[in-house]
Amino acid sequence: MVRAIAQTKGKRASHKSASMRPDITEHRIRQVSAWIVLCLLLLAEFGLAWDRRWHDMVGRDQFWIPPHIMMYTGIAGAGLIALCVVLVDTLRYYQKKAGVDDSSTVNILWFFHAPLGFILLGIGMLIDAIAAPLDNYWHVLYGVDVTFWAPFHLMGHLGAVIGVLGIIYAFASEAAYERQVEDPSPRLLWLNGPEWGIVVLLAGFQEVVLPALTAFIPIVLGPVQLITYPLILVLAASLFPISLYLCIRKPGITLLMILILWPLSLATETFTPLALRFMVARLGLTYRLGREPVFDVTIAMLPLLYLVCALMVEGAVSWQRRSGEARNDELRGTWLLGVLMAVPAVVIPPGIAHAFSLWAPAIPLPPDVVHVLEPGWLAMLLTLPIAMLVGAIMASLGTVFGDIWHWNRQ
Amino acid sequence: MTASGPAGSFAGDIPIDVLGPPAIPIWLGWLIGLSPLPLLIAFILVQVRWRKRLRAWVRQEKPQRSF
Repeated sequence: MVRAIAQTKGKRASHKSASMRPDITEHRIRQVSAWIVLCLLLLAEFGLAWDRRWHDMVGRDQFWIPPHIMMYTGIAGAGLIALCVVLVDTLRYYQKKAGVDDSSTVNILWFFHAPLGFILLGIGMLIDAIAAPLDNYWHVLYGVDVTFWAPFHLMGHLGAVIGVLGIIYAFASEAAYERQVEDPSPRLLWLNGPEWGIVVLLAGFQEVVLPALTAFIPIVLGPVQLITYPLILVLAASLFPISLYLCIRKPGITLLMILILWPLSLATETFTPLALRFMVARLGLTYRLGREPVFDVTIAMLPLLYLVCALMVEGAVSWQRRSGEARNDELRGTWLLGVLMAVPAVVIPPGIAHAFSLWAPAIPLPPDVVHVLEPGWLAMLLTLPIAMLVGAIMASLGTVFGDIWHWNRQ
Repeated sequence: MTASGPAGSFAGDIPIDVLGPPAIPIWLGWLIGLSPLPLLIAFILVQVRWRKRLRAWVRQEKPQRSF
Protein backbone atom coordinates (compact mmCIF):
# COMPACT_ATOMS: atom_id res chain seq x y z
CA MET A 1 0.00 0.00 0.00
CA VAL A 2 2.75 2.39 1.05
CA ARG A 3 4.74 1.39 -2.02
CA ALA A 4 1.75 1.97 -4.29
CA ILE A 5 1.21 5.46 -2.84
CA ALA A 6 4.90 6.22 -3.24
CA GLN A 7 4.77 5.04 -6.87
CA THR A 8 1.74 7.22 -7.52
CA LYS A 9 3.47 10.20 -5.97
CA GLY A 10 6.56 9.42 -8.05
CA LYS A 11 4.49 9.26 -11.21
CA ARG A 12 2.80 12.57 -10.36
CA ALA A 13 6.16 14.17 -9.65
CA SER A 14 7.55 12.79 -12.92
CA HIS A 15 4.53 14.05 -14.84
CA LYS A 16 4.84 17.44 -13.23
CA SER A 17 8.52 17.73 -14.01
CA ALA A 18 7.92 16.53 -17.59
CA SER A 19 5.46 19.37 -18.10
CA MET A 20 8.08 21.83 -16.83
CA ARG A 21 10.73 20.89 -19.40
CA PRO A 22 11.93 24.03 -21.19
CA ASP A 23 11.36 22.49 -24.63
CA ILE A 24 7.94 21.04 -23.81
CA THR A 25 6.09 23.52 -26.06
CA GLU A 26 8.07 22.43 -29.09
CA HIS A 27 7.47 18.76 -28.43
CA ARG A 28 3.77 19.36 -27.77
CA ILE A 29 3.51 21.07 -31.16
CA ARG A 30 5.20 18.13 -32.86
CA GLN A 31 3.34 15.38 -31.02
CA VAL A 32 -0.12 16.91 -31.28
CA SER A 33 0.47 17.59 -35.00
CA ALA A 34 1.66 14.01 -35.52
CA TRP A 35 -1.44 12.58 -33.83
CA ILE A 36 -3.77 14.75 -35.92
CA VAL A 37 -1.93 13.63 -39.06
CA LEU A 38 -2.28 10.01 -37.94
CA CYS A 39 -6.07 10.45 -37.64
CA LEU A 40 -6.22 12.12 -41.07
CA LEU A 41 -4.18 9.33 -42.65
CA LEU A 42 -6.48 6.70 -41.14
CA LEU A 43 -9.39 8.62 -42.67
CA ALA A 44 -7.56 8.59 -46.01
CA GLU A 45 -6.93 4.86 -45.60
CA PHE A 46 -10.65 4.13 -45.22
CA GLY A 47 -11.32 6.44 -48.17
CA LEU A 48 -8.77 4.57 -50.28
CA ALA A 49 -10.31 1.18 -49.46
CA TRP A 50 -13.76 2.54 -50.32
CA ASP A 51 -12.45 4.17 -53.51
CA ARG A 52 -10.91 0.93 -54.73
CA ARG A 53 -14.22 -0.90 -54.36
CA TRP A 54 -16.10 2.05 -55.88
CA HIS A 55 -13.95 1.89 -59.02
CA ASP A 56 -14.42 -1.87 -59.29
CA MET A 57 -18.15 -1.98 -58.70
CA VAL A 58 -19.58 1.40 -59.70
CA GLY A 59 -17.02 2.91 -62.05
CA ARG A 60 -15.33 6.25 -62.14
CA ASP A 61 -17.43 8.79 -63.96
CA GLN A 62 -16.21 11.90 -62.13
CA PHE A 63 -13.58 13.10 -59.70
CA TRP A 64 -15.84 14.34 -56.90
CA ILE A 65 -17.16 11.00 -55.71
CA PRO A 66 -17.63 10.37 -51.96
CA PRO A 67 -14.58 8.10 -51.48
CA HIS A 68 -12.34 10.61 -53.28
CA ILE A 69 -13.62 13.37 -51.01
CA MET A 70 -12.91 11.25 -47.94
CA MET A 71 -9.44 10.25 -49.15
CA TYR A 72 -8.31 13.68 -50.33
CA THR A 73 -9.64 15.35 -47.16
CA GLY A 74 -7.17 13.20 -45.23
CA ILE A 75 -4.33 13.87 -47.66
CA ALA A 76 -4.94 17.62 -47.89
CA GLY A 77 -5.32 17.95 -44.11
CA ALA A 78 -2.07 16.08 -43.51
CA GLY A 79 -0.28 18.23 -46.08
CA LEU A 80 -1.56 21.45 -44.51
CA ILE A 81 -0.46 20.36 -41.05
CA ALA A 82 3.00 19.49 -42.40
CA LEU A 83 3.21 22.93 -43.98
CA CYS A 84 2.16 24.61 -40.72
CA VAL A 85 4.73 22.69 -38.67
CA VAL A 86 7.52 23.56 -41.14
CA LEU A 87 6.60 27.26 -41.09
CA VAL A 88 6.11 27.44 -37.32
CA ASP A 89 9.36 25.59 -36.60
CA THR A 90 11.27 27.78 -39.04
CA LEU A 91 9.96 30.83 -37.20
CA ARG A 92 10.77 29.30 -33.82
CA TYR A 93 14.26 28.32 -35.06
CA TYR A 94 15.11 31.91 -35.92
CA GLN A 95 13.59 33.03 -32.60
CA LYS A 96 15.96 30.53 -30.91
CA LYS A 97 13.14 28.86 -28.95
CA ALA A 98 14.03 25.94 -26.67
CA GLY A 99 14.04 22.58 -28.45
CA VAL A 100 14.34 24.02 -31.97
CA ASP A 101 17.96 23.93 -33.05
CA ASP A 102 20.23 22.09 -35.45
CA SER A 103 20.12 18.93 -33.33
CA SER A 104 16.33 18.65 -33.59
CA THR A 105 15.64 19.97 -37.11
CA VAL A 106 17.03 19.67 -40.60
CA ASN A 107 17.65 22.50 -43.02
CA ILE A 108 15.87 22.52 -46.37
CA LEU A 109 16.22 25.01 -49.22
CA TRP A 110 18.83 26.94 -47.17
CA PHE A 111 16.10 28.68 -45.17
CA PHE A 112 13.53 26.34 -43.64
CA HIS A 113 14.29 24.41 -40.43
CA ALA A 114 11.88 21.68 -39.39
CA PRO A 115 11.78 18.04 -38.26
CA LEU A 116 12.76 15.69 -41.09
CA GLY A 117 9.51 13.77 -40.70
CA PHE A 118 7.25 16.74 -41.34
CA ILE A 119 9.34 17.79 -44.36
CA LEU A 120 8.98 14.31 -45.84
CA LEU A 121 5.27 14.28 -45.02
CA GLY A 122 4.80 17.60 -46.80
CA ILE A 123 6.70 16.40 -49.88
CA GLY A 124 4.67 13.18 -50.00
CA MET A 125 1.33 14.94 -49.69
CA LEU A 126 2.41 17.49 -52.32
CA ILE A 127 3.22 14.64 -54.71
CA ASP A 128 -0.24 13.19 -54.04
CA ALA A 129 -1.87 16.56 -54.65
CA ILE A 130 -0.06 16.82 -58.01
CA ALA A 131 -0.90 13.21 -58.92
CA ALA A 132 -4.66 13.65 -58.30
CA PRO A 133 -5.53 15.91 -61.28
CA LEU A 134 -3.05 14.10 -63.52
CA ASP A 135 -4.68 10.78 -62.61
CA ASN A 136 -8.07 12.26 -63.38
CA TYR A 137 -6.73 13.42 -66.76
CA TRP A 138 -5.32 9.95 -67.45
CA HIS A 139 -8.72 8.39 -66.69
CA VAL A 140 -10.42 10.86 -69.06
CA LEU A 141 -7.98 9.81 -71.78
CA TYR A 142 -7.87 6.08 -71.23
CA GLY A 143 -11.10 5.23 -69.41
CA VAL A 144 -12.22 4.10 -66.01
CA ASP A 145 -10.62 0.67 -66.09
CA VAL A 146 -7.05 1.82 -65.80
CA THR A 147 -5.30 -0.69 -63.56
CA PHE A 148 -3.05 -0.20 -60.57
CA TRP A 149 -0.12 -0.05 -63.00
CA ALA A 150 -0.92 3.40 -64.36
CA PRO A 151 1.69 6.19 -64.11
CA PHE A 152 -0.28 8.55 -61.92
CA HIS A 153 -1.58 5.77 -59.69
CA LEU A 154 2.04 4.87 -59.03
CA MET A 155 2.88 8.54 -58.50
CA GLY A 156 0.11 8.74 -55.90
CA HIS A 157 1.34 5.58 -54.18
CA LEU A 158 4.94 6.83 -54.14
CA GLY A 159 3.74 10.09 -52.61
CA ALA A 160 1.84 8.15 -49.97
CA VAL A 161 4.90 6.03 -49.16
CA ILE A 162 7.06 9.16 -48.75
CA GLY A 163 4.37 10.83 -46.63
CA VAL A 164 3.87 7.83 -44.34
CA LEU A 165 7.64 7.45 -43.98
CA GLY A 166 7.65 11.09 -42.97
CA ILE A 167 5.09 10.76 -40.22
CA ILE A 168 6.85 7.64 -38.91
CA TYR A 169 10.08 9.69 -38.73
CA ALA A 170 8.15 12.42 -36.89
CA PHE A 171 6.78 9.98 -34.30
CA ALA A 172 10.08 8.10 -34.04
CA SER A 173 12.14 11.22 -33.33
CA GLU A 174 9.70 12.15 -30.58
CA ALA A 175 9.82 8.61 -29.19
CA ALA A 176 13.64 8.76 -29.13
CA TYR A 177 13.43 12.10 -27.36
CA GLU A 178 10.98 10.71 -24.76
CA ARG A 179 13.27 7.73 -24.15
CA GLN A 180 16.32 9.90 -23.56
CA VAL A 181 14.98 12.68 -21.32
CA GLU A 182 15.35 12.27 -17.59
CA ASP A 183 11.69 13.09 -16.90
CA PRO A 184 9.67 11.31 -19.60
CA SER A 185 5.94 11.72 -20.13
CA PRO A 186 3.55 9.07 -18.72
CA ARG A 187 3.54 5.69 -20.44
CA LEU A 188 0.81 3.23 -21.31
CA LEU A 189 1.77 -0.45 -21.27
CA TRP A 190 5.50 0.44 -21.20
CA LEU A 191 5.21 2.54 -24.35
CA ASN A 192 5.41 6.31 -24.56
CA GLY A 193 2.85 8.21 -26.65
CA PRO A 194 4.91 8.54 -29.85
CA GLU A 195 5.76 4.82 -29.69
CA TRP A 196 2.02 4.09 -29.71
CA GLY A 197 1.76 6.34 -32.75
CA ILE A 198 4.41 4.31 -34.58
CA VAL A 199 2.66 1.02 -33.78
CA VAL A 200 -0.71 2.31 -35.04
CA LEU A 201 0.86 3.84 -38.16
CA LEU A 202 2.70 0.67 -39.15
CA ALA A 203 -0.43 -1.39 -38.50
CA GLY A 204 -2.38 0.96 -40.76
CA PHE A 205 0.31 0.85 -43.44
CA GLN A 206 0.27 -2.94 -43.41
CA GLU A 207 -3.50 -2.91 -43.73
CA VAL A 208 -3.28 -0.75 -46.85
CA VAL A 209 -1.08 -3.40 -48.46
CA LEU A 210 -3.58 -6.24 -47.99
CA PRO A 211 -5.70 -5.57 -51.13
CA ALA A 212 -2.49 -6.03 -53.15
CA LEU A 213 -3.67 -9.63 -53.14
CA THR A 214 -5.99 -8.80 -56.03
CA ALA A 215 -4.23 -5.73 -57.48
CA PHE A 216 -1.14 -7.79 -58.31
CA ILE A 217 -2.40 -10.28 -60.85
CA PRO A 218 -0.38 -13.27 -62.16
CA ILE A 219 2.00 -12.73 -65.11
CA VAL A 220 1.73 -15.41 -67.77
CA LEU A 221 5.14 -16.76 -68.84
CA GLY A 222 4.38 -19.35 -71.53
CA PRO A 223 3.05 -22.48 -69.90
CA VAL A 224 3.49 -21.22 -66.32
CA GLN A 225 2.45 -18.18 -64.34
CA LEU A 226 4.45 -15.91 -62.07
CA ILE A 227 2.32 -14.98 -59.08
CA THR A 228 2.99 -11.40 -58.08
CA TYR A 229 0.93 -10.91 -54.91
CA PRO A 230 3.50 -12.64 -52.63
CA LEU A 231 6.10 -10.07 -53.65
CA ILE A 232 4.18 -7.14 -52.20
CA LEU A 233 2.93 -9.17 -49.23
CA VAL A 234 6.42 -10.32 -48.26
CA LEU A 235 7.61 -6.73 -48.68
CA ALA A 236 5.19 -5.59 -45.99
CA ALA A 237 5.48 -8.72 -43.86
CA SER A 238 9.26 -8.41 -43.56
CA LEU A 239 9.84 -4.64 -43.63
CA PHE A 240 7.32 -3.52 -41.03
CA PRO A 241 7.74 -5.93 -38.09
CA ILE A 242 11.53 -5.84 -38.30
CA SER A 243 11.69 -2.05 -38.49
CA LEU A 244 9.11 -1.78 -35.69
CA TYR A 245 11.03 -4.08 -33.36
CA LEU A 246 14.32 -2.29 -34.01
CA CYS A 247 12.69 1.09 -33.54
CA ILE A 248 11.12 0.33 -30.15
CA ARG A 249 13.21 -2.70 -29.06
CA LYS A 250 10.69 -4.25 -26.74
CA PRO A 251 9.72 -7.94 -26.97
CA GLY A 252 6.11 -8.48 -28.05
CA ILE A 253 5.85 -5.16 -29.88
CA THR A 254 5.18 -6.79 -33.28
CA LEU A 255 2.34 -8.84 -31.76
CA LEU A 256 0.85 -5.64 -30.38
CA MET A 257 0.91 -4.28 -33.93
CA ILE A 258 -1.01 -7.33 -35.14
CA LEU A 259 -3.54 -6.81 -32.32
CA ILE A 260 -4.22 -3.37 -33.79
CA LEU A 261 -3.94 -4.40 -37.42
CA TRP A 262 -6.46 -7.22 -37.38
CA PRO A 263 -9.42 -5.22 -35.98
CA LEU A 264 -8.45 -2.41 -38.36
CA SER A 265 -8.58 -4.82 -41.27
CA LEU A 266 -11.96 -6.19 -40.15
CA ALA A 267 -13.28 -2.65 -39.72
CA THR A 268 -12.11 -1.66 -43.20
CA GLU A 269 -13.59 -4.75 -44.84
CA THR A 270 -16.87 -4.17 -42.98
CA PHE A 271 -16.97 -0.45 -43.76
CA THR A 272 -16.37 -0.60 -47.52
CA PRO A 273 -19.35 -2.75 -48.61
CA LEU A 274 -21.68 -0.94 -46.19
CA ALA A 275 -20.55 2.52 -47.36
CA LEU A 276 -20.77 1.43 -50.98
CA ARG A 277 -24.31 0.06 -50.64
CA PHE A 278 -25.43 3.16 -48.73
CA MET A 279 -24.07 5.69 -51.23
CA VAL A 280 -25.12 3.72 -54.31
CA ALA A 281 -28.69 3.61 -52.97
CA ARG A 282 -28.58 7.24 -51.90
CA LEU A 283 -27.23 8.53 -55.23
CA GLY A 284 -29.40 6.21 -57.34
CA LEU A 285 -26.41 4.53 -58.99
CA THR A 286 -26.15 0.98 -60.31
CA TYR A 287 -23.45 -1.64 -60.05
CA ARG A 288 -21.38 -2.08 -63.20
CA LEU A 289 -21.44 -5.85 -63.37
CA GLY A 290 -24.73 -6.29 -61.56
CA ARG A 291 -23.18 -7.84 -58.46
CA GLU A 292 -23.33 -6.24 -55.05
CA PRO A 293 -20.28 -5.79 -52.79
CA VAL A 294 -19.61 -8.51 -50.25
CA PHE A 295 -17.42 -8.77 -47.17
CA ASP A 296 -14.04 -9.96 -48.49
CA VAL A 297 -13.29 -12.75 -46.07
CA THR A 298 -9.91 -13.61 -47.64
CA ILE A 299 -8.51 -10.13 -47.12
CA ALA A 300 -10.05 -9.95 -43.65
CA MET A 301 -8.19 -13.15 -42.71
CA LEU A 302 -4.92 -12.18 -44.40
CA PRO A 303 -3.43 -10.62 -41.23
CA LEU A 304 -2.81 -14.26 -40.33
CA LEU A 305 0.23 -13.96 -42.61
CA TYR A 306 1.47 -10.95 -40.66
CA LEU A 307 0.86 -12.81 -37.41
CA VAL A 308 3.06 -15.71 -38.57
CA CYS A 309 5.81 -13.28 -39.63
CA ALA A 310 5.54 -11.35 -36.34
CA LEU A 311 5.91 -14.62 -34.44
CA MET A 312 9.07 -15.34 -36.47
CA VAL A 313 10.51 -11.96 -35.46
CA GLU A 314 9.56 -12.45 -31.81
CA GLY A 315 11.05 -15.96 -31.85
CA ALA A 316 14.33 -14.65 -33.28
CA VAL A 317 14.40 -11.82 -30.72
CA SER A 318 13.77 -14.20 -27.84
CA TRP A 319 16.42 -16.65 -29.02
CA GLN A 320 19.05 -13.97 -29.62
CA ARG A 321 18.38 -12.35 -26.24
CA ARG A 322 18.70 -15.67 -24.44
CA SER A 323 21.88 -16.64 -26.28
CA GLY A 324 23.43 -13.21 -25.68
CA GLU A 325 23.79 -12.42 -29.38
CA ALA A 326 21.64 -9.30 -29.21
CA ARG A 327 23.98 -6.43 -28.36
CA ASN A 328 22.08 -3.18 -27.66
CA ASP A 329 18.87 -5.18 -28.27
CA GLU A 330 19.79 -5.44 -31.95
CA LEU A 331 18.40 -8.15 -34.20
CA ARG A 332 20.95 -10.06 -36.26
CA GLY A 333 20.44 -12.03 -39.44
CA THR A 334 17.28 -10.20 -40.44
CA TRP A 335 17.80 -11.05 -44.12
CA LEU A 336 17.31 -14.72 -43.24
CA LEU A 337 14.03 -13.87 -41.52
CA GLY A 338 12.96 -12.11 -44.73
CA VAL A 339 13.81 -15.20 -46.77
CA LEU A 340 11.76 -17.42 -44.45
CA MET A 341 8.82 -15.01 -44.50
CA ALA A 342 8.46 -15.57 -48.24
CA VAL A 343 7.11 -19.07 -47.58
CA PRO A 344 3.96 -17.99 -45.66
CA ALA A 345 3.51 -15.08 -48.12
CA VAL A 346 3.24 -17.58 -50.96
CA VAL A 347 1.27 -20.29 -49.15
CA ILE A 348 -1.12 -18.57 -46.71
CA PRO A 349 -3.37 -16.58 -49.11
CA PRO A 350 -4.38 -19.60 -51.23
CA GLY A 351 -4.56 -21.61 -48.01
CA ILE A 352 -7.17 -19.22 -46.60
CA ALA A 353 -9.20 -19.31 -49.81
CA HIS A 354 -9.06 -23.12 -49.98
CA ALA A 355 -9.99 -23.43 -46.31
CA PHE A 356 -13.09 -21.32 -46.83
CA SER A 357 -14.11 -23.13 -50.00
CA LEU A 358 -13.75 -26.48 -48.17
CA TRP A 359 -15.19 -25.72 -44.73
CA ALA A 360 -17.43 -22.71 -45.33
CA PRO A 361 -18.60 -22.83 -48.95
CA ALA A 362 -21.60 -20.66 -48.07
CA ILE A 363 -19.28 -17.67 -47.60
CA PRO A 364 -18.81 -16.14 -51.07
CA LEU A 365 -15.32 -15.24 -52.27
CA PRO A 366 -15.05 -12.24 -54.63
CA PRO A 367 -14.28 -13.37 -58.23
CA ASP A 368 -11.04 -11.35 -58.39
CA VAL A 369 -9.72 -13.21 -55.33
CA VAL A 370 -10.59 -16.56 -56.91
CA HIS A 371 -8.83 -15.52 -60.14
CA VAL A 372 -5.63 -14.48 -58.37
CA LEU A 373 -5.47 -17.61 -56.23
CA GLU A 374 -6.11 -20.01 -59.09
CA PRO A 375 -2.46 -20.79 -60.01
CA GLY A 376 -1.12 -24.09 -58.73
CA TRP A 377 1.99 -25.47 -57.07
CA LEU A 378 4.28 -24.96 -60.08
CA ALA A 379 3.51 -21.25 -60.16
CA MET A 380 4.13 -21.05 -56.43
CA LEU A 381 7.50 -22.78 -56.75
CA LEU A 382 8.47 -20.40 -59.54
CA THR A 383 7.52 -17.38 -57.43
CA LEU A 384 9.11 -18.52 -54.18
CA PRO A 385 12.79 -17.67 -54.99
CA ILE A 386 11.84 -14.18 -56.18
CA ALA A 387 9.71 -13.65 -53.08
CA MET A 388 12.66 -14.81 -50.94
CA LEU A 389 14.92 -12.26 -52.62
CA VAL A 390 12.37 -9.49 -52.03
CA GLY A 391 11.99 -10.63 -48.42
CA ALA A 392 15.75 -10.55 -47.82
CA ILE A 393 16.11 -7.07 -49.33
CA MET A 394 13.13 -5.66 -47.45
CA ALA A 395 14.20 -7.21 -44.14
CA SER A 396 17.61 -5.57 -44.56
CA LEU A 397 15.90 -2.28 -45.37
CA GLY A 398 13.75 -2.75 -42.28
CA THR A 399 16.96 -3.00 -40.25
CA VAL A 400 18.17 0.30 -41.70
CA PHE A 401 14.92 2.14 -40.97
CA GLY A 402 14.47 0.52 -37.55
CA ASP A 403 17.93 1.56 -36.37
CA ILE A 404 17.52 5.10 -37.65
CA TRP A 405 14.07 5.47 -36.11
CA HIS A 406 15.50 4.24 -32.80
CA TRP A 407 18.30 6.78 -32.71
CA ASN A 408 17.23 9.78 -34.75
CA ARG A 409 15.98 12.88 -32.92
CA GLN A 410 15.76 15.28 -35.84
CA MET B 1 -32.61 19.75 -81.41
CA THR B 2 -36.24 20.82 -81.57
CA ALA B 3 -37.17 24.50 -81.84
CA SER B 4 -40.80 25.48 -81.25
CA GLY B 5 -42.43 28.87 -81.87
CA PRO B 6 -45.57 30.65 -83.17
CA ALA B 7 -44.76 29.53 -86.70
CA GLY B 8 -44.56 25.89 -85.69
CA SER B 9 -41.73 23.59 -84.64
CA PHE B 10 -38.71 22.24 -86.41
CA ALA B 11 -36.44 19.37 -85.48
CA GLY B 12 -32.95 19.07 -86.86
CA ASP B 13 -29.48 17.73 -86.10
CA ILE B 14 -26.60 19.94 -85.09
CA PRO B 15 -23.33 18.10 -85.56
CA ILE B 16 -20.91 18.76 -82.72
CA ASP B 17 -17.34 17.51 -82.76
CA VAL B 18 -16.44 16.42 -79.24
CA LEU B 19 -12.71 16.20 -78.67
CA GLY B 20 -10.97 14.69 -75.71
CA PRO B 21 -8.20 16.59 -73.97
CA PRO B 22 -4.90 16.67 -75.88
CA ALA B 23 -3.28 13.32 -75.33
CA ILE B 24 -0.16 13.22 -73.20
CA PRO B 25 2.46 10.87 -74.69
CA ILE B 26 2.63 7.60 -72.79
CA TRP B 27 6.37 7.99 -72.16
CA LEU B 28 5.83 11.46 -70.70
CA GLY B 29 3.08 10.13 -68.46
CA TRP B 30 5.41 7.47 -67.09
CA LEU B 31 8.26 9.96 -66.75
CA ILE B 32 6.13 12.29 -64.63
CA GLY B 33 4.45 9.45 -62.76
CA LEU B 34 7.71 7.82 -61.73
CA SER B 35 9.52 11.07 -60.99
CA PRO B 36 9.20 10.60 -57.18
CA LEU B 37 10.92 7.20 -57.42
CA PRO B 38 14.51 8.52 -57.78
CA LEU B 39 13.78 10.83 -54.86
CA LEU B 40 12.69 7.89 -52.72
CA ILE B 41 15.66 5.74 -53.78
CA ALA B 42 18.10 8.60 -53.12
CA PHE B 43 16.55 9.11 -49.68
CA ILE B 44 16.90 5.41 -48.87
CA LEU B 45 20.56 5.42 -49.97
CA VAL B 46 21.25 8.44 -47.77
CA GLN B 47 19.58 6.62 -44.88
CA VAL B 48 21.75 3.52 -45.44
CA ARG B 49 24.90 5.65 -45.24
CA TRP B 50 23.53 7.59 -42.25
CA ARG B 51 22.80 4.36 -40.39
CA LYS B 52 26.40 3.21 -40.90
CA ARG B 53 27.61 6.39 -39.25
CA LEU B 54 25.04 6.05 -36.46
CA ARG B 55 26.05 2.45 -35.76
CA ALA B 56 29.71 3.37 -35.64
CA TRP B 57 28.90 6.14 -33.20
CA VAL B 58 26.71 3.95 -31.01
CA ARG B 59 29.38 1.24 -30.90
CA GLN B 60 31.81 3.83 -29.58
CA GLU B 61 29.39 4.10 -26.63
CA LYS B 62 28.17 7.61 -27.26
CA PRO B 63 24.44 6.89 -27.38
CA GLN B 64 23.35 10.25 -26.01
CA ARG B 65 24.60 12.12 -29.07
CA SER B 66 21.76 13.27 -31.31
CA PHE B 67 22.13 13.40 -35.05
